Amino acid sequence: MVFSSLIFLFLFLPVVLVANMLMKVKLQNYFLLLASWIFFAWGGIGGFLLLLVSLLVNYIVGLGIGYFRRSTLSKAIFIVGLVINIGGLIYYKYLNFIIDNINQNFFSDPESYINYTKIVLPIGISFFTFQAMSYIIDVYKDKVAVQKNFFNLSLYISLFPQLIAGPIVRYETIEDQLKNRTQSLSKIYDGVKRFVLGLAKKVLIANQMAVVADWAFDADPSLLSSSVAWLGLAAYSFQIYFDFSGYSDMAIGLGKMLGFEFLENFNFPYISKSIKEFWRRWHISLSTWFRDYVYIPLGGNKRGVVKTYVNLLIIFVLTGFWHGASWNFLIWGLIHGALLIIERLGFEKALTSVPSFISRVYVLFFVMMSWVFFRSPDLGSSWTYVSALFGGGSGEISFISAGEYIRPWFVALFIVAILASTPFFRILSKWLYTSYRFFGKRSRPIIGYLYMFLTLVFISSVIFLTTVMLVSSSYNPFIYFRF
Amino acid sequence: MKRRTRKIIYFFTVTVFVTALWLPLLNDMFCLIPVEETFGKWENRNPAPEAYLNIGNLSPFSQEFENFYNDNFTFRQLCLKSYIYIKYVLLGQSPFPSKVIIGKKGWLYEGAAERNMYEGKTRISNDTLKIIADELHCRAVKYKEKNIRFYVAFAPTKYMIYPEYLPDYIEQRPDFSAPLIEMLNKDTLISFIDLNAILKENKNKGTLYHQTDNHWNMLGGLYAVKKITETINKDIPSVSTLDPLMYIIDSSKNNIGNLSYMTGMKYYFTNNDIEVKPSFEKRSHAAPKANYQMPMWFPYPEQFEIVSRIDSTGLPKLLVIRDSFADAVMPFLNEHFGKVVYIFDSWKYQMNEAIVENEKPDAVLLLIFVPHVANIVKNCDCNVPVNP
Repeated sequence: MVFSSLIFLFLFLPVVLVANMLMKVKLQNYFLLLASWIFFAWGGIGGFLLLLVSLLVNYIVGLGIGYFRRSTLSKAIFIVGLVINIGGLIYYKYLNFIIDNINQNFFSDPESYINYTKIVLPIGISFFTFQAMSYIIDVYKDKVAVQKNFFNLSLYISLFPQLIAGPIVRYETIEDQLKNRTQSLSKIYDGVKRFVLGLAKKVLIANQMAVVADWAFDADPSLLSSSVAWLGLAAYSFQIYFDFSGYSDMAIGLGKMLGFEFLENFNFPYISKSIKEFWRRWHISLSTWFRDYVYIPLGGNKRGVVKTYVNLLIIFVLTGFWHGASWNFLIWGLIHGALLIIERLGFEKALTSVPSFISRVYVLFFVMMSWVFFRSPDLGSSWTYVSALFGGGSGEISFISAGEYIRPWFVALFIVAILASTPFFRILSKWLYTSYRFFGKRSRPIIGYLYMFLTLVFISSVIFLTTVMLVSSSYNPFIYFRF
Repeated sequence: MKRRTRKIIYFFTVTVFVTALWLPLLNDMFCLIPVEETFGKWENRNPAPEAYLNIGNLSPFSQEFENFYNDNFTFRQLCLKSYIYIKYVLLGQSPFPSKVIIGKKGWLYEGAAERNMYEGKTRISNDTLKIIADELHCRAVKYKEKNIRFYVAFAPTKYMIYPEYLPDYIEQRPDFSAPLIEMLNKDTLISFIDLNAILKENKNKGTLYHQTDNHWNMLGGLYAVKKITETINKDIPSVSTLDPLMYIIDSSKNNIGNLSYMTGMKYYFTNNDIEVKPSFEKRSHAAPKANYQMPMWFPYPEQFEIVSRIDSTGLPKLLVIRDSFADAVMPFLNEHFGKVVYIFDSWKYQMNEAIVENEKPDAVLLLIFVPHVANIVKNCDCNVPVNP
């Protein structure tokens, strides 16, 4: 089940929301666990069974580490736990890729290829495995107490708002919330606003940008004119940001509505002035996960310059592959890793001495270049697309062809996307909320109600437009001829 | 902001949100807002059936239930109408661009197969084109053994005849038809009839395609038959050539074409249809069918076999393997043959040897809408390729 579906918005969510409001925390936990399992099983029973196995294994590993805390057995159990988690991830996510590459690079005759049945990637495996790993690592390091209640641990790993697309929530973040969490009108209000904001980002911006991005990236890149290639890339840059951050907003908003507090996952990454800053603003839960559970254990930046750079490259190779089993993701990760090393070599200082506009253009340029590899189907297409960006395409698909998409409303949406990639609307909203300071004390209630009115208009419009968009996708007009 | 004001804001906002989410459920239970029929009759599928939970096989349930829920969503029609309004009236775009393109001056174009062909996106390899040419050649050989002349005519798309009303962003690129026509023209046993040229030549004499439909109209059909009869006349002189001056062209009733329906705005996109009436007394009339075996799942059984006859003239017989483009051709073609049998074989365009054997026509005409030529490869019944 996805958040932007009719069944989630108008069946699952209203029932879960109201039922959750009427229950006490202890009962809520069981109810939310059941709801989360239904939510996940909706995407496939096989994946759900895998989740159950993962829950059980990590629960037992946690108990084992805690039970044998002072003996070497604790380490052995911890290692077994890691191997099972990483092994599962490799099996389900990377085995197809590994065998395909062995076949293509080590056997010239297709008849000698290793025969295997393609493994279907279970939804959300990267997210729930990383959450489970953070739990057992933190238990092993004695940072958190062992969770002895299987249902509570299961709820942490499989809580539906963050289960299939993050953010990656650390156990320590919600350890206390599993037992004690408060639900207030203001928290629900914040959650509603955040959820609707995420829905708007996903359905009204990302999905519309996707139409243009798909058009440009699905075409033969050698035919693209430079302007079309840049248009497609800009649209994709907005698509991926608003899609992913929109989903995170929805997850955080849902969490609040249910009484949980998750950490932020995005913080306007496109305004960054260095790649280092970009990774502090983009998919924060993933970058901090890799920082705390891989980079620092590898030695971080404390074992000399060369080791630091090697560690950085390792992190970004892993970050790349985490997104998917493809050489394109590896290149994407390496671009970011290489840029971080260049910045560490002194470029970061140079960036601070130039106007911030220039450093922002630098970040945007390279981030966008790396998105080419993230979006293209293979390396060959990626390089051809990069070439098209700089005039290497034949130009057969010209900007005139883009006229189908570049309408006044799309231009307006594009401007909204640019502004929404910056804190502009946040500042505007804050200003409106506190504008009574400018207009005098008497205006306070009027401004308050105006704010409420605008919020209500925004919420109603987003829900209405989202529903309209979702319904339209199920319409299939009679395509055939007169009879 | 005062605490009380804040609380009111919180309360109203949360209430509006929760009510919005509950509204469809409440409406299903208590019918608060009248619901229109949730499934439009112009949709190319039936609504998803109810889903049942089978403990022995749980996997398909979620998808089946979701399909059922989506198709029976209480505000489905209301949302569709709103979507169409927002897309077309507010944003100035086709509501369903993958189905219908809105051109200039209210001209509508089919947005999938015909567009892809015009923009050169429909790729048919030379090997596949060769299979088509070989299949048609094989039919021509078999017909010749039976002393039957074989004619092939491609009905052009609206894009090919009226590109001037297309939106500027649609650009023509080479398509598969030119190399195929070249192959067919080289085949001495096949008479290829080029309808593209005659329609382009005569488009200044009146509109030849429906503005809101992807088919040619009666005037388009008239010129197509002119060309067809001219070609057949060269081989079979007893088949007279159609003279357009023998027909009266009249602008008549409002027409709602198939593309209008597909936009969901059937009353918005209409056009005056052209009627073409003979200035002479019609000789042809409908004749009894032989009731040939119809292909399975053919959705228009009444269209499968249509027979026309002109009594006791001794004129030649024609068998037409056709699609919907023959509709506008029939009234004219019928006046030039003693008997015409039209077979609509579910877009397979097969040889239909049994029908040929029974009818023993003097000529066979394969009238095929050009984006459909690849269907021949899938349905070869004369020269079956090893690896089609």
